[in-house]
Amino acid sequence: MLKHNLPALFDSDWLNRLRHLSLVARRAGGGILAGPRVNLPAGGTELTGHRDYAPSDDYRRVDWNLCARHDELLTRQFHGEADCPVYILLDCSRSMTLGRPPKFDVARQVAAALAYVALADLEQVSVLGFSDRITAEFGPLRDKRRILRLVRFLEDLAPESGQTDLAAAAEGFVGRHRRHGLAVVVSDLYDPGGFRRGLDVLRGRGYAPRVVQLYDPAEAEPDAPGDSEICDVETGAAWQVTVTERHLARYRRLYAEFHHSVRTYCAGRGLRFAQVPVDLSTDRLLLTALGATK
Amino acid sequence: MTLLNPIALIWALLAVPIVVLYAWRARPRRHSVPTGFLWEQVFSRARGRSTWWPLRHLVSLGVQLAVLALLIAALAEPEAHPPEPLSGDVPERQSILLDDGGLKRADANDLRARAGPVASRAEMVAAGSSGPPLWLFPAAAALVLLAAEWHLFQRRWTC
Repeated sequence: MLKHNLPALFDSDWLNRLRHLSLVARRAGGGILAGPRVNLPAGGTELTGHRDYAPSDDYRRVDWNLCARHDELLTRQFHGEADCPVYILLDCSRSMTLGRPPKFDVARQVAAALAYVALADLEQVSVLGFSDRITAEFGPLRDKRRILRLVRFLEDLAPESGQTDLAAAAEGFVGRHRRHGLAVVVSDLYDPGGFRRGLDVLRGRGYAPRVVQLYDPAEAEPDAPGDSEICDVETGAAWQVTVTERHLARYRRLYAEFHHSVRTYCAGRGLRFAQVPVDLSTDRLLLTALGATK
Repeated sequence: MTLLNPIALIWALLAVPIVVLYAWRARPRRHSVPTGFLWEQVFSRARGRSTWWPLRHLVSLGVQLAVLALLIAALAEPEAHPPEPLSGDVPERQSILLDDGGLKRADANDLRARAGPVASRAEMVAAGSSGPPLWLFPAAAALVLLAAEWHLFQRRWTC
């Protein structure tokens, strides 16, 4: 399929597999990119029928040909959807560098897969990197034959030194993009300020957020018994403590509650989401992220 | 004061692995985590420690070294009043029996009978050298100390 010099993260086999995965995702109803779209203000361009003229109807919609034949005023009815751009917000904070494989590498592959599926649906795609602000941007892109440019952008993308602040990044995003559309957040959601604030900003400004949460199952089972120095990779905060079984049990409980809160928040607001462990095989991981599997 | 068994001081070398293990264990292992905000909640509810808690490893090291020092001191057999040299007329023929614990009891008794005038002195020397080999005590002590050190190294303190 591709004869160019490909970056290491996206080899030709992976890119060839994208085509098959996108077909699977589309058969699944579009997966995480599916959902209600924005209707055109004027009703669209697809003619769906006629109805009797009402006093408030636009006179330009009157079908004069039918009026001349049947001697009655009828207005045309249309249906259509607006072009819905897809924005992929990719978490580039330092917490994404951890994991086996690193969540940042997986996130870039997921972003490329999502972009390919959207481009195959003739949508306009933009990819933005963020940590505590928008740090990088690519697009908009509309032609899926230019996927290689996006792949090169993702390969050159590097983790940022800032902390995760989804709310600040969302504010920066909505400030520079006025066209509403789908905003897919690809992140581990380890935001000290809470992931809800950022998603609320997107919802409040009329974007339809989707969430792809990446996590390493090993993060739920820390191996830090005894005298340890626990160091947060983003803030640099450190705790020199003696980690006991009680600490570990409490941590596991908090971690499970955190994941449950993500599911509860998204399900309660009708947001499509996917929680993807990074230790899956590539095919299964991408299909889960695309929302094509449970 | 003199030491009747100064060679036992070599067991002081056991202090080296004890100190090495202490230094190794005293340095906490570093774990970089992405979920610092969760760990903050975990440790914010932890009970406060007493003032001696940060010094517990140092106290443990001191106790172990003190026990080792006492054992070595016992094995070295310090003598506050060293034995006086023999005085008076010395017979032309004399024999001094020195028993390092390798003689059998029957052989020792036979030698004492043949010692003659110095039998009482020979008896004193022989009586102080019976029992199990000297190397057994420090070896056992070393094993106990190292086992305890390793156990503390691996143990997860519960509270």
